[in-house]
Amino acid sequence: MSRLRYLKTTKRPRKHKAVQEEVQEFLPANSPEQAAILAPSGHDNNNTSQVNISSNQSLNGNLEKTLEQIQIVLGANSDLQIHKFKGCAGLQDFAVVYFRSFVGHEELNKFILLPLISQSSSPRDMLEVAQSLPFAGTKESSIQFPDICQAIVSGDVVLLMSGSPSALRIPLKKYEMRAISEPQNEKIVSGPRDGFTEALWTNVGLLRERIKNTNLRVESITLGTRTSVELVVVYIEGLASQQIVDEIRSRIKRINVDRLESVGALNEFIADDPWTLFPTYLTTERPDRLSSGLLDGRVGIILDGTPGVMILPVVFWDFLKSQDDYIENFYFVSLIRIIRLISHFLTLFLSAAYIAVTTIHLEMLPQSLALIIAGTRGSTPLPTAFEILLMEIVVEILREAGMRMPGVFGQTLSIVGALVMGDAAVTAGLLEPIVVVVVALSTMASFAVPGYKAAVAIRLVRFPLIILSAFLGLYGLFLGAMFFLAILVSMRSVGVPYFAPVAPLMTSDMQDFFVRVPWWRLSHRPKFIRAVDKIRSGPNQKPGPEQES
Amino acid sequence: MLSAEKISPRQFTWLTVTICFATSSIIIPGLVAFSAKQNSWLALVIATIVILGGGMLNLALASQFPGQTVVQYAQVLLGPWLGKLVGLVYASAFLYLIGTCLHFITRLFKISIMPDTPLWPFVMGLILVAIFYAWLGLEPIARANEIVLPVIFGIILVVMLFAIPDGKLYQGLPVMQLNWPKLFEGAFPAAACMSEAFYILMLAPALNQPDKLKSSTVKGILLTGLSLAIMTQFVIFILGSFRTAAYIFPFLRITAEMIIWDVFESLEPLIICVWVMINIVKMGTFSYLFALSIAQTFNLKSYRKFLVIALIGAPIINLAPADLADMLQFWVGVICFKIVLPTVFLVIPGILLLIAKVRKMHA
Repeated sequence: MSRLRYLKTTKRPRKHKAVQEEVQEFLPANSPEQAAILAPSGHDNNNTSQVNISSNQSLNGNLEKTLEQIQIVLGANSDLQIHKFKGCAGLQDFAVVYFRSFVGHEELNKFILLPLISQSSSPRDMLEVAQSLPFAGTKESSIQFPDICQAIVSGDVVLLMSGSPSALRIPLKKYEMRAISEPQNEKIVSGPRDGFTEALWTNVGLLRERIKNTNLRVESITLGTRTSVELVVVYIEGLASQQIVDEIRSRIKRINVDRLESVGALNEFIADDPWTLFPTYLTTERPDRLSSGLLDGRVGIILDGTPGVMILPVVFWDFLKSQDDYIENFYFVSLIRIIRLISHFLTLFLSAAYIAVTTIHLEMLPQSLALIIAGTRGSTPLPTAFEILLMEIVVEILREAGMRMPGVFGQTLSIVGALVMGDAAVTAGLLEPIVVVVVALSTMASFAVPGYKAAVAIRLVRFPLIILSAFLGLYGLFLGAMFFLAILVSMRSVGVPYFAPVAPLMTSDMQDFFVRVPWWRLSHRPKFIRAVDKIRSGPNQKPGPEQES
Repeated sequence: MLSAEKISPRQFTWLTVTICFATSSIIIPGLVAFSAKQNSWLALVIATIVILGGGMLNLALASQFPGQTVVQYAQVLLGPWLGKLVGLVYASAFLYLIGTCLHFITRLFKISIMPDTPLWPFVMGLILVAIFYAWLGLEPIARANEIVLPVIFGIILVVMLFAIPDGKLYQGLPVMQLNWPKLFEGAFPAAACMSEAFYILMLAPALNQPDKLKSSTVKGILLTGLSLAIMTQFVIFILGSFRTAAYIFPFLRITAEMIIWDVFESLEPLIICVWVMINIVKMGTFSYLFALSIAQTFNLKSYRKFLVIALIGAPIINLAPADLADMLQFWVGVICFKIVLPTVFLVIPGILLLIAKVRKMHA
């Protein structure tokens, strides 16, 4: 009941009317002719197509007039091709309109021009033309004027026929795409090597290859007013919570924006908490990870033009998991997960705790260690807190620079930056050697966490913790920790508590949490996902010799 | 918005433990051992039974008005003006307890660890985070408590395990050499501390399974009593009853003297910080209930704006007493234990229950 209430309250108010009017003013017509055709409505809430094309225009069968209108709307474009020809043994006037950047001449000749020119009889309408051409037409293939320009800019060929009130939309888009390859950011030791690409339907195909289930649903939604982008919401009907699916769908449909470039941008529009620092969705380029998610009862969002697929809902602890975890031995996986958790804590607290203990609570250290630290500190001019902050910033610079540099230079940069500079700074007496060790350890630990987005958030959080520790010691550190804990436990991902199954505690979900039990014991889907069908496997799955009945 | 937030029976139980255990675990071993000596565990058993009895009274009242808080049904039973006065009494009690809690934690930190640091960063830091929890609402508080409470119990357990070698069995002897007046004298501060369980009158409607209110409360009180009894007796086992009674914070004395594997020593700051965590949860809950009491007293929709009063009021109450001894003797020992807590835990619920019963009989 409380979840229902929560989902209801997540609806956010629409943009202010004044802002919408401002946006409409931002979309002026370029010429008086275009203005006559362009609609003044600007953004609408349906988001099904670009809306700056009038929906009142219809083809009157006058081919020349229609082509003229298309030319006005699409303007002067060097790659716009309008090719008029006589087909059906010279009895009928046709025209094809397309962008040559999308369509190859060979396909155009083979699938449209030659079949029409070689036809002997004149077709009665576009439906008959469609039936005579060698492509799989659909209901939506026959389009009216408002959709013609949209079809052309989307990469389709539009076929017009004199005397016909409708046009034919022919998908002949030829666009070079990256081949399916292993995702660079989600490498695993063993397991499948395929990864998503930038092509939406290729990605859907990769998913269907893994989930051969009649209940797999793929719902397409088009977003963007200035440039449209297609996305699909994927889920398994009868498994994913319909309430969560409906909520995701309605949040997506509320988006009214001129463009949508990435899943990150999409998440900022549909997140439960618009100001959140921590990621409330999982991005994966691995089809197997998406299929695992869907089979757990989650929902996926695949956006055209980006290989990263969004998985919802997620909890904080999902970022500690890798797809390897379900392939490798469960003892090993359990150990690795605990190490990842320790890494999380080291990233978050090590530098801050070092400052607190060595500057304020020195009595907590064993005498031998305290003497070593005191010995090194005497020779450095800067306070420890300042040293740590400086080093953390330098490491962030190195990391950022290493990412932008080409591969070979990246390695060189790491060696020069980390080894040479670090050593030189210590030798020159600018830094304590232990500070270098502490910062290096916390940096390394941040890379041990598979969820990159969560690791980034944790890296950001440690800076305020360092500052608090410098001023108030352990008290400041714990105050800061409690503050961020408050944020984490108050967060939700599509209505699911973000810190589940720890808070709220769900003991049944602990079998795939800090440790993973064997597959044959993973009999239930995680409770916090709220899957409709909670049972994953049948009874008596424990392997062993077959028992006599 | 006010009554929409729901928590599970488990969260309710754990929150009850936190409320009753957070402050009392710091001062109770010393206060109880002062009178009850080596039989402190028995004093705590008596205190738990008393609190269970008081809890039953509160539960009986809450069950008469399901889905309503004491502030709401006080207005039904006593009329709008007197009812509003009851609402303000509860709000004041919550504010006073926040101030007391704030006083203990900040003085503890200042005296034990950072004597040269001014008091205001401790006070403001603590109250700001607690108010932030209250601002987020009851559900995040209950969830944070599900992490914090096991952490503090885990730390206490670890300290106890490593302190066992320092224990002397004879410190707990002679067993059952009973001096009943002294036992009851020792049980009083423990019962007074645990009577902070009166908060259930405000929180009862937030339980998502109302039929489990009684079992959740009883479990919470029993768990608190048991934990305090074990902890107090353990401290006596290590320090002896005389030394335990001599310290204001005896458990911290154990951690201060402890050395683990010749590596970890003087773990006092760490333990106090963990106590800070559990007290933040307690102060967050009381801040939430304080603001809720005022909002419900005046039938307002949102409680959040009243958190500003807690933000300003609690530090003022915290700064009022001069020092810790003064605080313990008068502001806690007299005002809190003998006036505030008995009033909100026994007197007002007793009167309200009586009126409710009489009304029901006449109806």
